[in-house]
Order: sequence, then C-alpha cells, then structure tokens
Amino acid sequence: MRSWLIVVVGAILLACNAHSERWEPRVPGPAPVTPGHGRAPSAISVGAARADLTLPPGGSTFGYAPDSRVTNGYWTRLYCRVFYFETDAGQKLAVVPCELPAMSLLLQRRVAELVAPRLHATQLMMTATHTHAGPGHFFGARQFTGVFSSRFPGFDPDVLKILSERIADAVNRAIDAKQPAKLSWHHGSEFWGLTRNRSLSAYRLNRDPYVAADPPASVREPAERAIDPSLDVLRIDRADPQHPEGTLGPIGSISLLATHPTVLRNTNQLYGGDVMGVVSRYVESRLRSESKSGCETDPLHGVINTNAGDLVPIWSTGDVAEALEVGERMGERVWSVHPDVEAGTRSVVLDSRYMEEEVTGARFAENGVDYRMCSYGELGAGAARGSSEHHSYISGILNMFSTSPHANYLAQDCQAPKKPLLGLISSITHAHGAFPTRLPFAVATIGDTLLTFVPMEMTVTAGYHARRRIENVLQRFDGAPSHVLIAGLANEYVEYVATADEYQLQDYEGSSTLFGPSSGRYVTNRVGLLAQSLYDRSAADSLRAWGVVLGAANAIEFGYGPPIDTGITNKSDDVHRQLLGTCRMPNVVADLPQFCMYWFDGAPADVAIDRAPWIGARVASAPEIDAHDIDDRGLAFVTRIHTQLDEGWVWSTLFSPRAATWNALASRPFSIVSGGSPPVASSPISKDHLPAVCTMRQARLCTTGTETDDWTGLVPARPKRPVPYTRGGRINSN
Amino acid sequence: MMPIEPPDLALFAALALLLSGCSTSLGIAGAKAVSGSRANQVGLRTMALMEVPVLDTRANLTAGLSASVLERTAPESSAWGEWRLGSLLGLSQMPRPNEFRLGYEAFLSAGLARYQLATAPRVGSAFGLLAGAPIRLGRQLPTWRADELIALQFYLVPSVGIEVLAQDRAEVVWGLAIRGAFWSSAIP
Repeated sequence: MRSWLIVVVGAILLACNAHSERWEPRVPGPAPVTPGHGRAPSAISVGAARADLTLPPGGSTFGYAPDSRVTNGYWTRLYCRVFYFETDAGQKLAVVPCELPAMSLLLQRRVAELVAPRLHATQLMMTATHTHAGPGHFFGARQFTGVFSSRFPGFDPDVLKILSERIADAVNRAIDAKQPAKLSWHHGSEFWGLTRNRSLSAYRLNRDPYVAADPPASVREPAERAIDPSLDVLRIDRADPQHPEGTLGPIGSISLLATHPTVLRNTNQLYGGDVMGVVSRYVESRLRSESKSGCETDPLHGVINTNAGDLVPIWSTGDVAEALEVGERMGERVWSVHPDVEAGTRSVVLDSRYMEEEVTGARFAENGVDYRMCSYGELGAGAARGSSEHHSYISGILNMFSTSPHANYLAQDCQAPKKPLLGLISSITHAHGAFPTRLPFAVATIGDTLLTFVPMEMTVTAGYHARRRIENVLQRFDGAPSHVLIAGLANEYVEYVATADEYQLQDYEGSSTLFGPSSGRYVTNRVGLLAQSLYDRSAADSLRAWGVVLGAANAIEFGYGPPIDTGITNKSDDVHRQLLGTCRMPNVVADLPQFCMYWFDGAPADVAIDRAPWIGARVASAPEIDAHDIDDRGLAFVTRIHTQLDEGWVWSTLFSPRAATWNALASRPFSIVSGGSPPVASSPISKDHLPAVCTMRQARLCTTGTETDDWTGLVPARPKRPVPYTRGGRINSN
Repeated sequence: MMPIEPPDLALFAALALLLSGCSTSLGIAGAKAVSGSRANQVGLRTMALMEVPVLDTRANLTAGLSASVLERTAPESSAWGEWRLGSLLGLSQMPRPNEFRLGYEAFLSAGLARYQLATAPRVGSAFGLLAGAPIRLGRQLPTWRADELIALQFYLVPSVGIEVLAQDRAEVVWGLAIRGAFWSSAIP
C-alpha cells in the first residue's frame, strides 16, 4: 500500500515538472574575421571524420508525418561525414552531410557550441540526405516534434545530446586530422534514367521551367526531361609532400545530386540511410580499394541533396532489397564520374558568407515589385495526402469523400490559394515556435564551385531559378566560380519551396511551401545577394536595408514540443546474453544463402550498438574481403529487436552476403557474432557446414520482424543461471 | 468566409476523432456527506472525455461530461432518485501501451445535482474536484509495437473527489470505472 502511495505521489510530482531539461543554446555572435583575401587561391588542408549516429531502436523515424513508424532495428548505420577545409590564408569551413531526415538549427547550434572556438556556427554547414528512416525527436519546432509529426511524437533531449556530441566529436577529429590535400571537381549530367519528377502537373504550370538539356538518345518523352541530371563530385586526396603532383590516397569525396533518397515506404521500421546510404557505402568501398595498402584509412563519401523537392528515385516495391539495387546503380554512376587522382589542385579559393533572417514578414523586391513573406508558416490541405509516390494513410480516408482540389482560388490572404490543412483550427500552427522562422542561408566557394546552402527542399525549377540568379551575378566578377550548386536541407528545415507557378496548384510541394507563394522569389533574392556579397560590398548594404546583417548568428527561441523519453538511455540492471538459434533461410537464390541468428540480449539502451561494428561475421583471416561487407557498417545485415521475455530481449539479425563476399567467405569457417562480453556467436558456418534450414517461424523472425507471443520452439527452457553481461567489445579483428 | 464543404467536414471530423482521444467510462460511484445532513449514496456513473493535446506536457487538457444516478442508502434507503450531472475540465495522463501502467487525472466539475434534503428532494448546483488514477489494462508493449494510428485501450479508473451541493452540503465522492479510450500514437 505504501509503495503504491509513493508511486502516486511521485507521479503527481513528475507531472508538475513535466518539461524535460532543455538546453538553451548560447548566441554564437558574429562570424570571425578571416585574415587574408578570400579570392586568392591558397594551399588547402582537409580533414575528414565519421560520426556514427545510429541510435538504439525505440525512437521514431521522421519524414512521413503521422505515418513515420517507430523503429525496431536498423539495416544500415546512420552517419554524418565531416569534411573540414582550411586554407593557409585562414579560411575555415566544415561541410557535414548527414544521413538524417532533416537538419535542425537547434542541433547545428549545439554542435557549434561544442566545437567552439575551433569553428564558428557560421562556418559549419550541416546537411541532411532526407532519408525518412532516420530519427526524429531533435527539432526545435513544435510541428516537427508534436502532434502528427510521427507515430511517437515528442522532443527527447537525450537524442539531441547524443547526436550533437557525436557530431561535435567528429568535427574535432576532422580538424585534428587535417592535412595538405588535393581537390578536384567533376561537373556533369550523368544522372539520367535514375529519377523522375513526381509532380508533373505542378511542374507543367511553370512559365519558366527547368528543362534538362542534352538528354541521351534513350530519353524520348518530355516528362523524362523534367528532372535534374546534374552530377557533381568533389574528390579529396592527401597531397604527397614529396611530390607536388602526387597523392597518398583518398580522404574522401562529396557528391551532389538531385533526388529524394526515399525508396523505403512509410511502413518501414528500420533505421537506415535509404538509397543515399547505399551510394555512400558503394563509393567508400571503391575508395578503400584505392587506398594505399598498409594504410589504415577510412575514406568517406558524403552525399548532398540539391534541388530535389519534386524528384524521386524510380522504384516499384519499396523494400530494402530494392533500395539496395537502386542505390547501387546510383553509386556506380557516382563512382564512374569520380575525377582522376592526378586531376586535383592543391590551392583553391575557399570563402563563405552566412546570413540568418526572420522569414515571417520579410520584405524584398524583384523586378521593381515589392514582396512580403507571410507572417506565419502553414501547411496546406494538399500535404495531407502525402506525395504522389508515398501516399499517407489518411489519403485513403480522404479519397472516399472527395478528390477535389486542395486550393481555394477565392481566398485573398497571403497564403492564397492555399487551403489550410487544419481548417478552422489551423491558427494553432501560427504561433511562434510552431515552425522554424529564423532561416540560415550560406554560400561557400570551394575552387571553381559555389555551394548555396538553403534550409529547404527546392523543386527542380525553384532551384534552377536560384542557381541562375547566382550565375548571372557571378558573371560580373573576374575569378568568380563558374559552377553553382544548391545544397538543400542545410542547417535548418522548413519543408519545401515551390515556384509561385507550382504553388498555384497546391499539390504536395506547393502545399508544403510554408510561407506563401513568394517563397521561391525570396530564396532567389537572398541567395543572389549573398553570393554577390562575396565580391561586392553593396550586396551587404542591400541586405542590411532589409534588416539582415551578414555573418551574424543570433538568438533563437526554439519551440520544443511535448517532452518524451524514447528510452535510448534507459539501462537495465541485469542483462542476459544467450544464443537462441542460427539457421539458413529456406529460399536460396543463385546459390547465395542468407543466415538468420537470434539471441537474448539487453534492452535497446544496453547493447553496444554505438560501437561499430556490433554485428558481423567473424572470420580468422580474410584480407581480400572488405570488412564492411561482413559487418553492420555495410549493407549485409538487418538487425531487429522483438520482444522482452523473462530471460531478456530477443534480437535477430539476417546476414545476406553478396556473391563476391560469399565466394570469398564460403571456403573458410566463420561465425555470426554480436559484440559484447560475453560475445554471442553462432557455430562455425561454411559452405560445407551450413546450419539447418530455418523453420517458417524462424524465417519470419528474421525477415519481417513479425511479432509473436508464442515463443515455443524458438526459445529454449530457462537456463539455471543468467550469464552476466558487460558492454563493449568489437566483433572482428579483420 | 470560406464555404465549408463536406470533404472538409469529413477531414475535420476524422482529425477531431484522432485529435480528441475520446473515451467513455462506466462504473460504480458513491457519495458520502461530510457536512450538512448525513447522507450516503451509491450508484452508477458514466463519463465521456475528450483529450486535447495543446499543452507541451505529458498530461493533456481534457474536457468532458459526467452523469451519475444514485440511490440513497443512509440515513434511510430510497429509490434511485438522486443524480449528478457535471461538466469536467482538467488534465489527464492516460498511459499508453508502452508506458508505465498508472496514470493520473484531475478535474474541476460544475453542474447540477438532484439530492435529498431532510424530507424533500432538491435540484441545485454542484461544484467539485475529482482526481483519478487510470490503470492501463493489458501488458506493456515496447514502443515499436505501440505505434498505432488509432486504437482502443481499456483502463480501470479509481477516483475520489469532493463536491459541494449548493449551500446545503459537501460530500466526498468516489468511483471505480472501466474506461475505453480511443488513442493515436501520433498524438502526444
């Protein structure tokens, strides 16, 4: 009775203090003054480091709004790849592509605070690939952590803390690892046949559309040219101090391409990088092959999403197998255009400008016409159905009643013809902190290329307008970059920006253009002035006339949304590890087996998932096998947690070796291992000693994660003594 | 004024259902006078509640209606002539399948009551406070098995409160009910 009373009183006290501890970022203040002249090439040093963002399952994914499922495992790890650039002239810039659904200025500011004073917030460019299989819970806007943001809405300060600390640690390691480098760019249009425009109706309303030029002979239909086939790759190699033209192996590369990474459907419950995660791993494996033998290197490949608001991969089934297939085709294309090692230069121009602006009510002028942005952000009714290739669950209900347009062409307000998603109660999204309103923009020159960092997903035409503006501006200045690229989902996230023409249809992208029909013109205006400010001080004066001070990172009042505990730090007192079974999946295609292992282990917060690799194939000696191909740093493992029994939590992993890997692996015994102490390892497996074929119940466990409450036959009788568990321990010394 | 079309109403209704966290409960209830004339009642209470997630807290703003029919058992028994009817406004934290099974709620109530005074019945105002502890029925599930877009969850809800009937008496009220609640994991 007393314990219940204590519980009740404690619950009441907790309710009175229901707000989680929130970190309030300190204001970074003005950007540091860079010594030297930004326009002169200067010897460049580059450092790269990887941040592993893979969280324990139990939190929600983000990107499909209320269709974003809660995770029960992962099929790829999630990484940020930090590329730190520094010139002898003192310019600094960190470009950090992350396998996240979107970027959050709250996260960016926290990382900047942790790496200060080595790097300033205005020198840190964090982008998101937009995988919808990444975590949420870390945004500083209530609409991204609150009602309908996912199936497990809420802001978890532990998620923000873990992500920011890991990324900051990687930024510091990248800075420490900087060394003289050679950079080389490839600029081309080789990304044909892999993507399509999912919003052709809106695209066709553009009076000034982007139409991809010089299509290959296989492209016959106009709709096939409604994509951006641009493929740009920056290759970074270690400069050889002994030989001016030589290199000592790759540091890594960055590709910029225009597509959503979303093959996986909204039913997905696995963390993963989707197709861009596959692209990164494909290219990294090729870069590792190029690395000098004997060098312990980890070359990185980061992917930056350009103007992909209405562009998606061509896919059909939407499962992991297809994401692998599509991603590999994209990866092959990206690798095929990597510049030759010899093509690089050791001296480049590195310069950047940064601005922030409160977008609500922002004013600007274009072609003699004054514009004003809407005073609030709002989603339109067209967003409720989801995009054309990933319909929302609610679209089925809506379609039973009507397929009428989502626009109100009689409306006269700033957002017209947008019909508010929430109708009569849409004003609840107008309050401060509901959507991000302080938008960061930045431009950075790296050699002959100017990257334009924008906090949104621009449609292919909206991005083209912005790019064209910058190109027209730069033409006036000698030595200005000849290539301009959009780097989307950078430093913050305000959903989509469609052109004013596309906005009229109020299709998915138009409905998701939060601040009204002038958004595309606004972005074009601001990035044009920002690019001009690299060469012309009057641009800074023009921005100041609109109330924008270049280089300032100011205070922001974030909206956190309801607090939540995803359980990723809730550790158990007693953890039991025990192998339960290993088997061979019933269906063998092309003599390529798949192996299922399942075991008892701790709760999500207990296991060593943060110490990659955690799951893998342990083999005595196989130098010809890329280690990433046989552990969870690659693409061969799908690992899930199922349910808690008396003895512990049941986990499973499905090992699907590629053909080349299996050919190398099959002749020597290996075990599937889950790292930790004591390790959980299968009996040795080889081509001559295959495990038994899985029963149907075992096979279901490893493929679909089908939940069962009947574990008879899957779980042995309870052992007499639980085996103690300690965290840590890698699984392969290969 | 923008015309409201049927599809918009349908969307609004669907959203309202998902947003509102509707629940209904039915159970036994009783009251014991602690001032004024001595009186005990026992009977049935039904409650309909609607949660609105507008606060950035774990507990949601909740509004609803409560109706009780009571039989007086003391000082002498009588027919089922007493009733309480009230509107409720307060906070409610109904534990989800992935949470610890005990929640809490607290309401202010305002309404009407029919009660017995000495020899004659009377209808008068009724104001009070009501606190409850919803206990989720069923076993706890991990978050990845509790991410339903809409589902039904049952609770056992003991409650206790105090009610003031006009100027006549104050009584302690209690109840024990089974509650069925629609919930959505997309709503915090």
